Amino acid sequence: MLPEALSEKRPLVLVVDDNRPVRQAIQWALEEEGFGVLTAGDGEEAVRHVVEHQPAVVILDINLPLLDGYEVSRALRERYAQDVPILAVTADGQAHSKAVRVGAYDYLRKPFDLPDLLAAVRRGLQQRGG
Amino acid sequence: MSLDLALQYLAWALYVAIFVLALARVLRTPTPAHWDIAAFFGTSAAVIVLSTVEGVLGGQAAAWLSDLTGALIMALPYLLLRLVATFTSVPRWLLPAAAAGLLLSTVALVLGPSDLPTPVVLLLVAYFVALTLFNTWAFAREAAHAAGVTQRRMQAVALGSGFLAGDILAAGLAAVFPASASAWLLLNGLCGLASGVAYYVGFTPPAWLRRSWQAPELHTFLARTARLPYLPDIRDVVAELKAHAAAAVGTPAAGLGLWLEDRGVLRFAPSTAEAHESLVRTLGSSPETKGVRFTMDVFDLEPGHMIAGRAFAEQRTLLSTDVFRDDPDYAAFYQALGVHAALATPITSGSRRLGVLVVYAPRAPLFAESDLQLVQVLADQAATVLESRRLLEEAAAAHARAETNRLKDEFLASISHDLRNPLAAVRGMAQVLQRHLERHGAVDAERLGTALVHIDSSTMQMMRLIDQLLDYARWQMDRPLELQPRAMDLVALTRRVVDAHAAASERHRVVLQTDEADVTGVWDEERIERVIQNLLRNALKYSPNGGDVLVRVGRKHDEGGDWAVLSVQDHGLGIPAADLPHVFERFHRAGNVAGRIAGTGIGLAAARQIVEQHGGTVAVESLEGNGSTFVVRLPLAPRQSPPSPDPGPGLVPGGEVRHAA
Repeated sequence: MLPEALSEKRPLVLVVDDNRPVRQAIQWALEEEGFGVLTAGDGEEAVRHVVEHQPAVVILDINLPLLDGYEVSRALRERYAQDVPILAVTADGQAHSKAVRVGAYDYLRKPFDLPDLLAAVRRGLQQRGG
Repeated sequence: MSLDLALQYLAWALYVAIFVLALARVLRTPTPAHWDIAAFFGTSAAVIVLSTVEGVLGGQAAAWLSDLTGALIMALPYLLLRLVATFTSVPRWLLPAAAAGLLLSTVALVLGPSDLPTPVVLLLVAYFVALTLFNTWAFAREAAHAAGVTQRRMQAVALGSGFLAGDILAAGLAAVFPASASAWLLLNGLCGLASGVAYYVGFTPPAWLRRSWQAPELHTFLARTARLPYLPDIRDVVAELKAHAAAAVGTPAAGLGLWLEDRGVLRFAPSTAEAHESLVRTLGSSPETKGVRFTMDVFDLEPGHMIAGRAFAEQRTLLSTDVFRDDPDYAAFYQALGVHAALATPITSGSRRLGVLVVYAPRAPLFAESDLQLVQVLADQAATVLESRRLLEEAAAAHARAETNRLKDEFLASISHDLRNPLAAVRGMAQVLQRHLERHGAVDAERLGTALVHIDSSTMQMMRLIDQLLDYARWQMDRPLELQPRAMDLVALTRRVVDAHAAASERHRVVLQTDEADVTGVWDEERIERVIQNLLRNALKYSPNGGDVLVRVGRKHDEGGDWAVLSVQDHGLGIPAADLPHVFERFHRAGNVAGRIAGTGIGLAAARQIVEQHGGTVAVESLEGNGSTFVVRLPLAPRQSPPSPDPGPGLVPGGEVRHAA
């Protein structure tokens, strides 16, 4: 996570993935587009970030240590951030059904194309704004 | 007509009826017992006919007619004794003595005056009654040993014989005490009728009576065999079926041969080691034991040989009242078993031949047809038991197949997941750098360096997965790995793997502990690295809350030789006791992690395969909630492992090899 990202008035995106290279690639791509980026390598850290920083969009991997994607989404929906848009990202075959289960507005299957990811993040931001 | 006369006529009618039925039976199946029964009732019928003629003629009847009737009556206990001798042992002297008694009685009746003196009458009656009572006792004793229908029939016959003795005793007393003759004659009539009824029930019971007698034994058998299909071992099922069949029929021994279609033999398992021993001794030395083969603790019989094999080949029930006569080639076998008669019936379910049930008896059964029916019913029930068991086994096998398929599907899904993650990293990095380059015309060196490190580690991860998949494919075809052993240092390798994992995980502390500067052996470095990788990755994955992971490397010496020992200890979730015996099985995943933590279920199985093919061992100690310790032992001197038939070239380098004891 980059603390300076928090102070600025730009949309904040939380990237949750336990694969560090994947996390890094998404972070660079989002920063390049002018987003503020927070990262988390496990479910607990993800929930903590959401509670503390209220990101505009959460990019959520499903297979995570400590709390998995389902538990993270349940915690967010029930207690902390009921309306935070979740973009599900998973390497699993049943990406669609998993995305439905975490209440995601959209999903991507790994490996994904960066333009698709950025477009999906923007859709999430619009959804929140409108 | 007086009462005693009426009773007499009723008794006569019964005796004649039994004779007709017995005659029909002996013509159908002429066994010695059937002959003796027919002779006994034939004589009785002759007595009845002659007495009737005498009654019609009255005073005009010739004296010899009455003598002949008397002689025939005196023959009855002797004939009964002959019948007794067919199914049980009687004192050797008894038959000749009875014959002599019969001869003397006939002489006395023919030569004596028509009104015999009282002492002679008493002597004749005493001979008749004594011999008949002996027969009664013999039948009663046999009834006590028998079971089911046979027991009831024996009891009835014993009762009939007892009444016959009473009948003659009363007739004799009527002659000796004329004053009270009418009372004795009434008793005589009653006893005569009672013996007729008892004999009728015993020797020629109607079908409904036989069925109702059979019912309790069948119920017992059914109750005892109901749980048999669920016994884990088929040998126990067979042993129980045999014991219950023998008990139901009331014989000391029974055999059950299972049909092994692929071998074309009926397989018998003797009930006890002693029985088998004696069979092997007697048969092993006999050259005429055609069609019988011994293996460790069973003997195989070809269909068509022995009573049992013939019953199976012909698919019908066979009775041998004398196995030494019918099966002379196997006399030694029957001698060892101590049997004289055998009853064999095929166990068949629909058109599926399952085996043969054979019931042995020390002597020919008197009521073979009853036993025959019972044994057929028992064989049908045995067929039901064996069929149920087969269906249960098929269901279990189908379930296991379905489970394996499900696990394979999970494995494929999991491997796809594991490949897509590093692929996403490589693609993501490549696209990010590309965008950066397009927009800024250059990528700063630091970012480029980080990206290249990530790409490199991700491709390494994919390469390892592909190697594992290839090993897995060989394994699916039951082919051993082609190990590439060369001298390598386990300490250095372990340190490298530990350092890589220690750097990758922020929550865990991975520590290597060793007192050795190096532990060098001849192993396949790439595979051993995979073993350490798999164990370490599991240790990290299954301790999601972090904590220390302790890796130790050392040496150990025991009776098996010198070993390199590597252990990986974590403080994570641990493994439930129920899963502990299965953790090294392919696709098996413990109940506390399956579906919660992603995994393929082959990491440990692959580790075991690699270690065992090196001639080593892998073991686990774990307590659920308290972490696990995996211990790998690798032989310091190369050896070939027994489970892999072809360890592949290069496992044992030539020249410098010392084989461990």
